[in-house]
Amino acid sequence: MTLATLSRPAPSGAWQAWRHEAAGTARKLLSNPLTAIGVAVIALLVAVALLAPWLATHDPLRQDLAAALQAPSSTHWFGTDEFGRDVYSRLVHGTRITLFIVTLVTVVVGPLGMAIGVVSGYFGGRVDLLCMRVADVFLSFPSLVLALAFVAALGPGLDHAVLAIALTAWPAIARLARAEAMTLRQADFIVAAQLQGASHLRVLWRHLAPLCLPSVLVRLTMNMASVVLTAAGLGFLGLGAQPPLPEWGSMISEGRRYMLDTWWTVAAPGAAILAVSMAFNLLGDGLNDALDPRQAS
Amino acid sequence: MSAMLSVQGLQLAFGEGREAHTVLHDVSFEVARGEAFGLVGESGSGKTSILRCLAGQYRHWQGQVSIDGQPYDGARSPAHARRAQMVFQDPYGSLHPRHTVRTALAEPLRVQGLDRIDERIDEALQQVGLPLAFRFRYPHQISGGQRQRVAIARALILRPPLLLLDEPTSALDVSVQAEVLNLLADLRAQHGLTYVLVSHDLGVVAHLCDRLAVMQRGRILETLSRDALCAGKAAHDYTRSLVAAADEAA
Amino acid sequence: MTTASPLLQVRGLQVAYGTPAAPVPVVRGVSFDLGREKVAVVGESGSGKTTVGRALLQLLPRQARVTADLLQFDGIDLRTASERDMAALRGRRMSMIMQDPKYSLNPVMNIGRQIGEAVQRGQRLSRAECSARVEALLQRVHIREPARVAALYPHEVSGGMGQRVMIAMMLAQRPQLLIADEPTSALDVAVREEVLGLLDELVAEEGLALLFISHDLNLVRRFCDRVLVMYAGRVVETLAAADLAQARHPYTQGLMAALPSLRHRRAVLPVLQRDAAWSAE
Repeated sequence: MTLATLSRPAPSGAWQAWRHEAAGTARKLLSNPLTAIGVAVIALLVAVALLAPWLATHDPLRQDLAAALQAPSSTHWFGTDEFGRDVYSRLVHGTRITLFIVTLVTVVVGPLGMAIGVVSGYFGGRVDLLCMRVADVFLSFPSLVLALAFVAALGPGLDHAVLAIALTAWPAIARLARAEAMTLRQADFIVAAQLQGASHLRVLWRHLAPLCLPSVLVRLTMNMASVVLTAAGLGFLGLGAQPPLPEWGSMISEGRRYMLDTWWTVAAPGAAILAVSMAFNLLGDGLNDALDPRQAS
Repeated sequence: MSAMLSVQGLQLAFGEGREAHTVLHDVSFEVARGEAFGLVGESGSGKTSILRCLAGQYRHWQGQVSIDGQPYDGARSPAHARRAQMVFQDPYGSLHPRHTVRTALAEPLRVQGLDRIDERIDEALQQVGLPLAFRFRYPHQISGGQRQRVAIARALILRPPLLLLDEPTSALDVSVQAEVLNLLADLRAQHGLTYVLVSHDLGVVAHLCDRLAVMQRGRILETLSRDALCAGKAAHDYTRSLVAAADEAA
Repeated sequence: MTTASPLLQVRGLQVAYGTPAAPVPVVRGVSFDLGREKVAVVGESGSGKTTVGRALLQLLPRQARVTADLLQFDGIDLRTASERDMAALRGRRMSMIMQDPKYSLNPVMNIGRQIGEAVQRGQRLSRAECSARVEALLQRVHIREPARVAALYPHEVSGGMGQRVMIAMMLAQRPQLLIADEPTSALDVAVREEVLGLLDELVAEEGLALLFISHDLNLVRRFCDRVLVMYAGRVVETLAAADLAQARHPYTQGLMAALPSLRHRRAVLPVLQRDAAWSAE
């Protein structure tokens, strides 16, 4: 709390107050140059995904065997792969797949992990024991092995890959949320809410969960980097996106046979994976600093 | 007229078997309606534990407690919330960091399903001497004394007859403490509230309370009136030593 | 260097955070002398009293800019002292104890080892000698079973004993100046008296100079020789502790009056009316 904050005129509405706080956090976030770069790269990713049909120069699925394995040129900016498909256009359309995977996993893992973690940490005792043992079971599976199992059972496909990744990622979020909930459940303001007669659900939803959210968000953001890598890995193994979908990992897998002579078929998707992973990591790092309530505003 | 708060044989222990640690030994006292009752003692005396039992934070105590004529079994419920509320010690920890003042004050009203929320909030803020413009400030934007006022407003917004005060001013600066003590005295006079005030500061207790109980190691050593205390009529040596320590060479 | 000049001399001490363009002053022109006596720096939160103590030992964060017309300890100019010089001074000749021993003592080392480290600083002692010194120090701070306490961990001792352990650690190097930052605020009243009694003894017997930072006017009135009252980064009044009842500055008077007292009971406590002029002096 600084004198400057106190001398600012008081916000006149709940929405305004919230906006002030959010603007302050956004400013803190972007003041770090590395974080700003991360945000920019992700914004670029989203933009490219949205505008893919217009940004691509060729049809990503159209084969032209006569023009196979051509070096980058003015017609094919990143060259062509062994089927003559334009690498650049495949990269651009691949952003949609990457974004789809990352979003789906986050949307499943975030709420699920938080719900279980917060309930576990708040109630403690047998509830905690049960939840955490279940989490342990899922934590013990490496995601690639689980994906193999899913593929064996359900057949290969992007959706099954996403499911496998999500099922192995939620325990980490749950543990994090649980740790926060355990610290916070003794806080005076929680006791005050309970004393007012609030039900457990209300305490969890209105009081406890919003405070666990920042660290969960940071963790989710950093998770996104490893999700991208895991999806690429699954694609590389042929377990995720199936051909001819232009998923970056499977592009690397297909291109590796010709890697030594035609490096662009592997370098382009590889660089894209690197850039996006790094960007998510930088964003997560920046979010950590910006959202950490322990640092004075 | 029945007492507002009646505590008989309150017993509280933690741990089991050999490691059992008794925090409260057979504590009994009564507080009349409209009275301000103080619990004085040092850390470890058990005074805060009594409040926690009354607030429902500790459930595993034994004894008989009745609040406003109704027996109390330790459970937290909306009905209990309308009978007793608490003001906590740490102004930095008693307000939810992500809720505005308005949200913090609206919460008890929403939980209880009361109407005219904005009206009641405005009234509560006025009662504790805070400007209405504070409604949309976050706790980290207001000072410790102001936070404590918000906490008092929150406790009183449900109009409970009994207010439990856990060292409400010990984390505040001296000048701010004076303001908050004056406020508490005013509110009690205006609304006929009953206070149970816990403090290690004899001066604060003597200022606000009519009667007080001196505690040591989980037992009440003696209960006496403020006048008796100030006149040096304390029976126990421990009480005398507390008085001597609090007495400055004015 | 004559024995007449005070051990610590401070003139015009300023501490500011922020940028040179937009400074946030925290201490504004504090001046005082400290000899072999007990001087209190009293103020409320935000008055800058803790910052003064840390500025003397150069323990402020890097963003803090410390300037002074004079900042001298036993003839050494603290303004121009290098980090090496300060490291030699800190803990050896100028020492500090803080409010909560829970946070000042290392929780994973037992007490004997921690004091042993302080004892060993700058000299090689055998295990037996070190242990003997540790026990002697513990006895000096009136801990009755030094061998037993030396084996304990910080979380196993009470607040009062922890504070005495801190004092023992501080004494290991026989400092000339002690800065005590709210050393008894976290302690019960009875324990407080013991710790203060110990500090009193040390000032008398070892000739220690004590700078006692506190928010508790009543405490310093009884315990210290002189009192500096701080408000908004400035010293608004300097007076002998015995004269506090006759304080002349309205802030000091207001603070004294605002304390609830057992002897003089008032229905309404006089509320301090802050005057903008006080922070502009």
